[in-house]
Amino acid sequence: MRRLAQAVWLLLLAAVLLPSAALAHASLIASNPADGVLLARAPATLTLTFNEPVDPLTIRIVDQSGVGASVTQIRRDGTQLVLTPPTILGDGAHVISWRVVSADGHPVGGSTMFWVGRRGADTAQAVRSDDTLLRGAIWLTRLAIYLGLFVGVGGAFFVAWMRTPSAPATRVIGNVVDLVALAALALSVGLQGLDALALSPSSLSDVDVWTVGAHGSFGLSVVIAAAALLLALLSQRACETRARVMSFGALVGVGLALAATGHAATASPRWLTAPAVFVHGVALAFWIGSLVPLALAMREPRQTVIDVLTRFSRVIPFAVAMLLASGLLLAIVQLERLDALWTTSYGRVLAFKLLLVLLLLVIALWNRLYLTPRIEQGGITFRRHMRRTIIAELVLVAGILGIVGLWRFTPPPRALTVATTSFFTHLHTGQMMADITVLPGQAGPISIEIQLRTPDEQVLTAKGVSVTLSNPDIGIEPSTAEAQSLGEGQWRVATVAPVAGRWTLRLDILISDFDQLHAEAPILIN
Amino acid sequence: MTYGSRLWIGSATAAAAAVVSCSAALAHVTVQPADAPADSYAHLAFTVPHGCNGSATTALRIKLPEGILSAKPQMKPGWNVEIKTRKLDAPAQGPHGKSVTDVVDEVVWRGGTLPDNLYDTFGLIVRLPDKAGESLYFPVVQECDLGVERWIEIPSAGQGSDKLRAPAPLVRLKTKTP
Repeated sequence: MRRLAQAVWLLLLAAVLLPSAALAHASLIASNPADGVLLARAPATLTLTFNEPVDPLTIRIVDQSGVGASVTQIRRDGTQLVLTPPTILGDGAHVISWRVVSADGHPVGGSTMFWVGRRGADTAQAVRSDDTLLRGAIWLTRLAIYLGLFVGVGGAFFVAWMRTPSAPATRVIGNVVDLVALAALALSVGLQGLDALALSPSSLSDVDVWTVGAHGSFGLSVVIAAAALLLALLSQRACETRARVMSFGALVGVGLALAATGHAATASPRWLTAPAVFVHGVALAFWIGSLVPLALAMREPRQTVIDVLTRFSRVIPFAVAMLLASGLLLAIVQLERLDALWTTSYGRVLAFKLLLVLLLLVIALWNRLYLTPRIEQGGITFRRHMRRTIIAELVLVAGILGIVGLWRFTPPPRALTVATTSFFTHLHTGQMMADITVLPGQAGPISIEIQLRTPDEQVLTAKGVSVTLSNPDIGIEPSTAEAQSLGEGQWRVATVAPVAGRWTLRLDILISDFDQLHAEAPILIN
Repeated sequence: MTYGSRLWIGSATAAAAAVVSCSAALAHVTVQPADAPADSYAHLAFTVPHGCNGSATTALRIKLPEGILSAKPQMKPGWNVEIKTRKLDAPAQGPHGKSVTDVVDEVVWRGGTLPDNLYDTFGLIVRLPDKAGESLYFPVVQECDLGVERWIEIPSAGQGSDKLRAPAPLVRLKTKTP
């Protein structure tokens, strides 16, 4: 008995002395996919890398609808766990929620998330990137695509239907803008992918960038626009009837391409906005498309000019009326309030655009009411005059399209209002108070704003604030993010609540190096 | 009860206690001894069992609690020691009848490197206050090549230290045996 007791003491001594190398809490040092990334395709395996070898307790994959599945195929590889998801992961958000036990017998848990295919809702919306080169390239491709769709396709339609004398110069200009627009369309897919994946332009050779870029409504829009441009190119080589059919198809394609994506066409109610964008696009293509052939036609004999102008004058009031009506409707939906016209960047872009449109309308009216009757009466000088004002109109149009291209970078006020449907809660402990605003209060990427105060309403200054989100209801282990100070006791952190439901938010507030305050509150995500 | 069986029970209890305390405490920065007589000098040893998420420790900062009127950190080869003091609001009566106006506020060991796969202890001789029954918390900031670990959590009333993620090391004050 005594010998056994001695043996126990010896074992105990050994137990205390031996394991010193492995006596840390395990902690996750990396994951693949990394936290918060967007993947083009669902990964076949997932890897969690810890600072020491661990044993998995429970590992679950929870998708954005809150459905979780346990991972049973787990391979241990040194300090790594290689997981094989039980099913192929669908599009959207996925959370890997892990709980492991390290050599010291301590269970630790955490979570990391990633996206497949797209982030949150289908967002072919505002450009996220801060990269000047990328933003410039996106804007330039936009401008080239607009010019191709309106000047190229619209021009082909005008030539085929208004029976303008098909001058070689018209065809050359049409071909050039169409081909440039086709190249810009192709490039825009890659640029969209770069923006979605938050990569620099040097990653343009990556296949995944193009796969992500072609995803969703943006890809659909690009395909329709390319088809419209090709039809317009071919129509210029076809005989009269065929050219009419093809150019009509191309013009419809312009409307469809614009209505397929973008924040105007996807605004609610869609049954109203998408047709409005379609009408706006078709009417615009007709008007802008008329400018180049008309300007060139001014060189033709007097009777030809009069014929073309008469036909044009009969149709254009309808086109402009449709353009203005659809434009007004879209502006009302997007802006929501009149003062948004000057208080938001989207509104300022619109205001500047409207100014140029007004100028364009004045010139158009001058052409219609002053110059057209005088050209009909004869007078070669008026034809030259008309040619010059049409060129001025073209320059204005290019300016307007350039301004419209800026909308890729500004979310409309409507979208900002949606984002303000936030969740708010007030937290009160003996040592501090916190006002917590979660914005938007819906599943996906969220921003959490925290206003810290002392119990007697003074600003509480802190050295650091870390925010931990967990969702015990659906088994998502905590994930921590450091907040950024905005001054005056205000802190903000950008994080992700991938699933709707009740989450637990924990604040760790570092007052000084050695003092910390904690508070916990439930938050609701729709 | 025979001597043998008593020895056996004692061993088993000690083993169980050691295993339990092992798993709970050895992942954290801790202080030994866990309890010490109040109103006396004590040699405290702070054990740093690992770095910050695998990164090597480069500094250890210990904040001394209220009531400790004298403290002396251990000299450690390869580390520079910094002693920060603070003025007391009112002079206090020192252990040898002297009036004390300045006390050690924080002790910092800096400049060395303690890799994640090794451990080390950092010593401190302190005069513990006459507050038997109370617990003294020593918040510790562990700075590493990459990142910081703050062992500064103090349990609220009724809450146990084992629930905390990064508890501050503590010493329980026992009644001084005369």
